Amino acid sequence: MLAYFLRRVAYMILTVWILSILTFMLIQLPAGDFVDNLASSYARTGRQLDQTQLDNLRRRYGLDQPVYVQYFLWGTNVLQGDFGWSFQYAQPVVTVIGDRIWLTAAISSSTLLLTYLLAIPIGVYSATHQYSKGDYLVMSVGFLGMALPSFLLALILMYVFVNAGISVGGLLSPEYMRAPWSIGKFFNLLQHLPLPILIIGTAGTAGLIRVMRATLLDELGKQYVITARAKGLPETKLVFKYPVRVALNPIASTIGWELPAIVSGGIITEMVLDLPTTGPMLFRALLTEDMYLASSLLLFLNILTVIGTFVSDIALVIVDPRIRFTQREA
Amino acid sequence: MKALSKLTILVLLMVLLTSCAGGQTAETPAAPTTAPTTAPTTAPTQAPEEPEEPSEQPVAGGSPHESPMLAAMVVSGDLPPLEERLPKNPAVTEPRESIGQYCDQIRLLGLYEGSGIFTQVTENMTQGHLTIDPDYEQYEPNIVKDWELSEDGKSLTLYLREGMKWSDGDGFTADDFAFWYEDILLDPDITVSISKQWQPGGELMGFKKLDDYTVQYSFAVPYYRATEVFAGTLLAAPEHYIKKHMPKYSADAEALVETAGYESWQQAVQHDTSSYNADPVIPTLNPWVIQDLAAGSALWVRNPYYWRVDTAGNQLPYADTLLVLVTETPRVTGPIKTLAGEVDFTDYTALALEDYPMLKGKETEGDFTVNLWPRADESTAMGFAFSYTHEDPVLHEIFSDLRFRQALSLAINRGEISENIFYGLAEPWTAPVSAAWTGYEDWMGTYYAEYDVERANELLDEMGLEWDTAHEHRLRSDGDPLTILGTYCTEWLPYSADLLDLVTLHWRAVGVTLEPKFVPEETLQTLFVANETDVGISNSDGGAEMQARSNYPIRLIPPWHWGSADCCAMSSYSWRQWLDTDGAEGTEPPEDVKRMYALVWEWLDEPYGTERYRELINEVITINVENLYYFGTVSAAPAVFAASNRLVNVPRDDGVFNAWHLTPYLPETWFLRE
Repeated sequence: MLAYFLRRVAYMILTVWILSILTFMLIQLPAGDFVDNLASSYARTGRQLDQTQLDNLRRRYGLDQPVYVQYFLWGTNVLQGDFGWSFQYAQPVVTVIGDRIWLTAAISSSTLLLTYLLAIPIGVYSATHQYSKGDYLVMSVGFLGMALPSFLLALILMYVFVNAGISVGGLLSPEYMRAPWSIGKFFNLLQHLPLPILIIGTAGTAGLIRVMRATLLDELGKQYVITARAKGLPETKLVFKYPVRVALNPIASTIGWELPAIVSGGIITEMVLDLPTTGPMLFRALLTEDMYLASSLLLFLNILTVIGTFVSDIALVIVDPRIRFTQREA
Repeated sequence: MKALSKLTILVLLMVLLTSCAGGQTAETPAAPTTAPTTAPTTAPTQAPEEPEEPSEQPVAGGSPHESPMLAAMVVSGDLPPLEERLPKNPAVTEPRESIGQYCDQIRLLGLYEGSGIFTQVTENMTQGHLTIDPDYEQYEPNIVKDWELSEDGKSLTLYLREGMKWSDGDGFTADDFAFWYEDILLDPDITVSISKQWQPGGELMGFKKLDDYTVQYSFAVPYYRATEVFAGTLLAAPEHYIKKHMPKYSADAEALVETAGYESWQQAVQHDTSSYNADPVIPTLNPWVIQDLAAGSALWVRNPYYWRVDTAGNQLPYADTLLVLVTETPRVTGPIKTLAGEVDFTDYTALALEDYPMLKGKETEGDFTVNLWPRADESTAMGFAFSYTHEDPVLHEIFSDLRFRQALSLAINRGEISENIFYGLAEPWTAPVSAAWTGYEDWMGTYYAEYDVERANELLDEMGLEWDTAHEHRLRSDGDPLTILGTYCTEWLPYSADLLDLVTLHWRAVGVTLEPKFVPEETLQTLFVANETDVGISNSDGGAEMQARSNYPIRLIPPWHWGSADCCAMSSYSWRQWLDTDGAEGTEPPEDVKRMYALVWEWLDEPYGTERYRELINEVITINVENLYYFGTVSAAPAVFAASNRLVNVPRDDGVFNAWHLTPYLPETWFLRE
């Protein structure tokens, strides 16, 4: 077991390293670099940067060196905890990300919690009451949810809320943004939070309900369920003791992939809602080729994905005893 | 089951409705249940009434002519009194509407762009030596008290304001100019290469400090546009601050640079000279200084040493702070925040023409006014410049033929474009400059702007472009249908796709097939430099005349944009190369283009306002217009601005918009009425 564990960790480190090289190169693939991007946006607002100023800027940002040199410098700095300098924000990357990460984690975890809390019970209900009115309702709403883009839902709800007098957009109203924490500020935050959590949360719910429903239906049709029912086991205990546990398998095995979603899930919705999270920041960093910021964020994503997969494997082993038994036999 | 199928039908209908509503603009929702009244309100847009002159702010200690926030700091000893903070001759400004009251905060909407947060207000806050009057005709003293360009154009003297200070209280003197010239401009590690603007006649301009408050620049050749060039820049840097990062002047420079996280002291100095709008510690001369950039917002605080007062002697700005709400999606957030009353001023980056009707209907409810400002900087909303150096010989011959350009211009139904896209607010316009330019003549604006499909077909028939058998496409000389790939990158102009679709229809009627294709900027740049584009498509923002003189008129000589091959360059880059290198590189342009080019530089060297000045620019514009090298469709769409009704001294229905400079509207004189 220990050998397996160590081997996995070694592979994880190797994967992360190779991915970091790949992402670093990929970011620079689009034509031009950050300075070209800067020049374009300046040109649009009437300031022209001639070639001399562009050279100045390239020198300043270290973009006039070959790619592998840039990677080597950045890589060695990362190992020392220095993630580089963000061109856009004119601040160290650590500061830029650090500002937003707590909020991102908070929103992502609450939406994740909401998703699973909603999806699992509804999925169970839908499977146990197959073809009932409730089931049809759930299925229709589910299809609607999967078909409707979440950003469209966000736009509609924003307009509705504004007309109803509820402040939307961002996490706090302007007057509370820099005010010290108070009851008023707390209530203002509560006003702003439901919309993002609702939209991002329900986006994933529909798919999950259907997975839960399908796997549970598979289980409920099996012999042992019929036997248990014949033997007089109460229905609730029957359903939850074994079939639900089995149906949770696919969910447990994919739960690890939700980890990277903490950083970059629901980007478009977050952009529309103006949430100060890392998703939109990653998007912009990639667009403008703000290299070190983008590479650092992608590095986090890599690490989270790799760890997440590992966590999934562990979770599966815990949830499903059959895997432990087959391993022991082998 | 019947009830259930009805339910599903209802659900399907809802899905259909919501998906249909997402048609043109995502902002207009379909939910009919909470539809607001869109009937136009009868209340006309009124400028807010003029408030009475406020009485002196009663405060114990401190001057009545400064903000209470600063007065309190004077009383507690944290700031010197007002007389010591202002220069002996502060700049005096008369506010548009009335003298203001000191107010707490103005809220703005900003977006991320370039290397910082962009709002029209903070963007154009960076002060230059001179400023321009609201009619964009005359320069006025700004940072400098006065300036003098010698008769022969070979020297420019700047007179500074005695007693003026940087935002941290240190004196602003000729030493700051000397420092900039000697230690920043001349250091090749900091300024890797020197802009041509500082090298008239090929030789670097000279600098001399005449006394503590007077500096002089000398030029090898007469440099009559020195005023325009020097106006918008500041050739000084806070030496007392920057010298801390230079090992030449400070023993702990290296250590300081190391702890701050820079790679070298040169990088630190480069940061100091350019990031003053992002870094709170760097001293500036702006009315507000950035205090911090927390996630989602930026806060600017007043500069206690700001050197401008109003006509009653009150130190500007009136607003103590500016709060900028930053958004990733300004087009969505703009209307929403304006409706909710959460911002006091929304600029054109966040509001589009499509939002205007909706906002207009909500003016009384939201206590704001929304206005359309005509554009002084842009003559046409979209123009075409074919590639006159095309590598395909067939297309080269076709594009170089004047009759082709005339025909395609006549084939465009400009009325339809105006009605469909600009609510009828745009006029037909083909000239690359606006009517305000010196040298403009009335015939130029609508030259070949008539809608005449018959005449267009005649011209194309004359050229020998025959129709195919199905009479759908005209054929090239090699038998293929005539197709033009219309690559464009103007995603910031939301009407681009629709306008090009209309032009495609118009040109199809004369047998020419246009294929509009959006490409990202950098990709288009690569294509353009490689001479692989067929036509350049863009609006004609190019600044009003005075701005054009500070660099050169970008819409009047190849490539009909900036000289470096950037995103929105239009056409014939190799012509420009030939002209710039005097024949060493590039392809040779026709005689009239050469003449155009030569005249432009002569015009730039000619003092403003002389008869020869007018003659030169008139001929340049005439050559451009007659040859339709770059012809437009309709006049520029007005820019949409919204301002809270409590905000005073901001232009409303009398505003004119120039994307490059909002400074004539002096945001430091804006304030919120109680």
